[in-house]
Amino acid sequence: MSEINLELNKVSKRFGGNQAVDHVSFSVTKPELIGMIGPNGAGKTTLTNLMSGMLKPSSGAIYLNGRRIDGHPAYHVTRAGLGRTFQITRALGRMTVMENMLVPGLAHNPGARRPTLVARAHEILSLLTIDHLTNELSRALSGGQRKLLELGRLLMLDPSVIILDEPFAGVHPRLQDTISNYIHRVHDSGKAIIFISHNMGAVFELSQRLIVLHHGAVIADGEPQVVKSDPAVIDAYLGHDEDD
Amino acid sequence: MMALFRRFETAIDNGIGRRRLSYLLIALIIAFFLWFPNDTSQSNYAKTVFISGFFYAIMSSSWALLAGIAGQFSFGHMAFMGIGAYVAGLIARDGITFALLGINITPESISAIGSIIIGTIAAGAVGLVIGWLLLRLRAAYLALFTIAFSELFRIMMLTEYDYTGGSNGLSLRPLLQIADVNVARQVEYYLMFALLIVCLLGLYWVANSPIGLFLRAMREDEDAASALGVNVVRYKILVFVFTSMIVGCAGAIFYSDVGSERIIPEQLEILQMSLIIAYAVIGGMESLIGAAAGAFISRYLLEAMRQVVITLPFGMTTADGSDAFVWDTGFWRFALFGVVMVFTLRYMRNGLLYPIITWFSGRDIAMKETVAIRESDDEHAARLETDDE
Amino acid sequence: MNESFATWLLLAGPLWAAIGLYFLPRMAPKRKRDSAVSEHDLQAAGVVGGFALGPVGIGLFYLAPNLIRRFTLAAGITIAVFIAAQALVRVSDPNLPSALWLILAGPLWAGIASYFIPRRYRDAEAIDTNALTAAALGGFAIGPLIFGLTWKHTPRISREWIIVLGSLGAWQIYTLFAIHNATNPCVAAPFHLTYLTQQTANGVVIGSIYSLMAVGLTLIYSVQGVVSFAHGQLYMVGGYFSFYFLLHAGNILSELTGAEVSVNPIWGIPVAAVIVFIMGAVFERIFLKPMHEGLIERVSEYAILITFGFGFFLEYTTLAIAGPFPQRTNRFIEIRRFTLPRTQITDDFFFGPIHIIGDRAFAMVVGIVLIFALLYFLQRSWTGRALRATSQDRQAAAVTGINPTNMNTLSFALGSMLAAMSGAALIPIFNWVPWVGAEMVGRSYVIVVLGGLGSVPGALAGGVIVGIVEALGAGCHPDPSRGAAYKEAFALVIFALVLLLKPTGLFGREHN
Repeated sequence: MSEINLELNKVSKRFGGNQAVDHVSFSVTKPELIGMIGPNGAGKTTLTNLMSGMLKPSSGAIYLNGRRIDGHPAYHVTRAGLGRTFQITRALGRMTVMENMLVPGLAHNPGARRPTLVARAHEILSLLTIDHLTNELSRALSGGQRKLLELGRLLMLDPSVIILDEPFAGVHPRLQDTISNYIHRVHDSGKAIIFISHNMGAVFELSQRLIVLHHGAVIADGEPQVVKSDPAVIDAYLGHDEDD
Repeated sequence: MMALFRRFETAIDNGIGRRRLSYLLIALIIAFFLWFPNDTSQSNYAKTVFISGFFYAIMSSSWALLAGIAGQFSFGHMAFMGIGAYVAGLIARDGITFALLGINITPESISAIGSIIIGTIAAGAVGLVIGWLLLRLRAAYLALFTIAFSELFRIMMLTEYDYTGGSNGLSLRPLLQIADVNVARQVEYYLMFALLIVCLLGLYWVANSPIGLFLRAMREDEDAASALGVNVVRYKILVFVFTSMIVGCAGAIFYSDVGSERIIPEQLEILQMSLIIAYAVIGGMESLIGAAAGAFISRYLLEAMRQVVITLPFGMTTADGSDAFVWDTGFWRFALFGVVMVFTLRYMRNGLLYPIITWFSGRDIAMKETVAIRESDDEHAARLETDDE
Repeated sequence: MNESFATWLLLAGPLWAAIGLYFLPRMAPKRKRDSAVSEHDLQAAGVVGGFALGPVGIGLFYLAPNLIRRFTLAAGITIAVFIAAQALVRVSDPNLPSALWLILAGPLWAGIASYFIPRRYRDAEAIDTNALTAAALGGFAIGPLIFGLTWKHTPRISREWIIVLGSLGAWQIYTLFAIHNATNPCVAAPFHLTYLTQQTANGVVIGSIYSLMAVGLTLIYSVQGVVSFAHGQLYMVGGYFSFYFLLHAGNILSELTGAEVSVNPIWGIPVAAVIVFIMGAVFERIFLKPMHEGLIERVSEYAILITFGFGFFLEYTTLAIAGPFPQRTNRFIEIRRFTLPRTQITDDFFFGPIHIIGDRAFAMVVGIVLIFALLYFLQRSWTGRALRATSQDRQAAAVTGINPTNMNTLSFALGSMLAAMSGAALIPIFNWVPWVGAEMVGRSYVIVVLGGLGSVPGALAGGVIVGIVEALGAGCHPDPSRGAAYKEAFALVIFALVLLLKPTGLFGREHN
């Protein structure tokens, strides 16, 4: 089991005058299933981008397994062991599903032999029920299948921490089950998962720990049942939810 | 007609198979090119056309790697070629001194091959710098920057005539010194053909290696590729350096009295660059062999179309009494070429040779198969339900 | 001190810098260092320490990595720059006092400032939109002083900053030039003002036509998001349409009246405009419309190639029809030149007289009138407002009943028409060959990128700036024939710098 130690220390991000993420600190030290929720515009996606190296924090520091990763390019962060998916799926459209799987496989493990990687990719794809699409161009996949492919690509990287940005959004209920199944299996294999979702049912069902963001700041962090009854969360978060 | 083709297709599929047929065809093409200069009925002029065809095939296929596979729309390809040729020429004529490193290369001490190697390295070094500068720019901005770069280079070569010979051009040191014109042409022909084969092998090796996979991932989505662990900075620079070195080397060799006796700034104009792009587009930008074949065939056709002679049937005669209609096409052939390019882009995005290439690789069968298994989320879910039962 | 020692000094700094860059990040993590020191800090420390103090610097940061932050770094830079500047002085010109060189080492300061100042802004959580531009220009113009201005407080950098710093930098180039080339007409007193004003006036005159063409390009971009790579060729065919119209109209009128009649080239402008408007509209409908309908994959790539292909076709078709021979129509007006009288300020200090070639002045007036007509159209007419609305927000415009498809076609047709009109306005002035477009289009890219892609005021300002830069550059180059040849190059250098430092240009919309 690989080492897990993600630590955010007062991470902030400012866009012009807008404080998108405001002194966020938390740490992940064991294979947990963490739900991250918050109303629209709470800074969830920005925080994901900061952690994965797509954006550079205005201040604060992020450490992964003892190495400082904030401000490092995304590929650096990925290789350090933090994988992510995107809210709007970003499949590599004109490449086949297998090629989509091989890109992270080879990037993570340049010396690997192709047949080994292909076998591994097949294994992952069949877990995700899309193994029959191996030679299909990924742009021809349906929305849910693309989500599955993105999840599959992450496993090729063998990260210690995985961030899933809205894994359930716009996916058929039956495929959502496949995704939940995936999350459980990945978690069982000893990885920490942070997943962002609007689907409250799934969040409360899956997560062991809940982080609530509001106006870019963490307003609650703890066990789901405790957080659920936190008045600040009900005030800030659930009050907003009526707008959606 | 179609039925006949279908029967042929089945016969091939059941017989030797398309892959093997394609290898056979490639072997035949190579054999033809190897035999061609031995055909005594062919003039030296025809060989010259072929030599320049090979040169442009190198240019187009390396541009296809840069633009089609890596997605970097550079208009500076000709400029890199020019850097290779000019540096090789200047080194061979004036030598160079690096007092700091204690290197002193005199014109006497350097051979033609040495100057070509230095030209290649120089093109690669400039490619490194330009690739680094271009990291921040995308799509149209990248195209504009490379246009500016290549125009600046051309203007400098044109204006600094004390060094570069200005519009008269610069002679490089001849690579081959063969007195007999016929023999010389033959050797030049084989040299250029060998260079094309080597370049194509190199380009294919890169395109089929993990690097090629990463380049395509970058083309599709730079951020996503980076999130998957691809070092986009390194590969973007790498592809610039690699293609610059290829064209720098090709330029230095071609203008070392192999295909042409001097490099002139006119060769570096955007219009010349646009020819390279047009060849690649017509042949298929995302296929290296397609781009190379597109360049060679276009080049050949453009030469062949210099004068179009239409023999009139049924004993008809033209107004001045001859039985053939002669048309000096002049620039019209290029205009026609432009039309072909624009319509190829609109209606056959992957190039005119794409159907042939996919047929030989058997990819069209795979495509038909995969189209059949496409499904929506609902269908996928329904299938999983039935699997569960 | 002999020369070889100086070159060694130059070499030793970079050598140690490279060693530091390689070894420091690799060795230091094993040592005590607090978590605030990142890999990047160590790399910077390796370069600076190695460059400034050689092996001593590397050792220092190796033993005490926490020193890297703040003051040590600043001190290191100062020493490094001092040594580099000293070495430069000795190598290049031993007679220049080194203090002067420290100030004049503009590019060096520009590089250093553009590395550190944007970082400083980000660390301070300040708005860093223009920090890079200001740092590069400031480093060039005022050397180390730019750090003083931006370090302690990180003020918001406005457009005024950039303009002031840019002008300061331009002034320094001028001074340097004046020192090195004292006999040049641009700097030689007392006539230099006259010569300079003359060149500037020429630049403004031609620049207003450049603007007209660039406005077309920017209009297409603002509505469609497409850079037209056929713009130069449309400009070129505009000139040829005018030329052939005038030729044939002149012949027909001569036959009818029996006397030699020549038509004023002003009539060529509307003719070229109408024909190219239709051409542009047809091209847009056939080739660009499918792109907006989602029928085409890889849109940005397609847009570049298809417009480029269109230009390719136009250029060779024109070559086939008109041949490669220079053509020119007759003049707009008979007045050869306008002269502005001399303005005396003191005995030694005067402007003028300044001459402006009659036809060029006329073309400028045409350009200005057309630009104002376009602005009036965009501001006042319903269609113009619809165009602007589409360029602001396509979806919102579509909701209010504007048909974006028609707006796309209109923008491309109008933009192409403007290019053709500038062509028709310039054919009486320049020798026209089918490749004039290629040269001119480079210029319009410079203008629109300088002004900011998609900004009409930017295109106007950019046109005049490029006109002036070209005129001054060509007029002041020590070798006149080279100066003329490098005319385009001056603008291209600006272009490359703008693309690298501030791709949004002077007036461009900022992207997040």
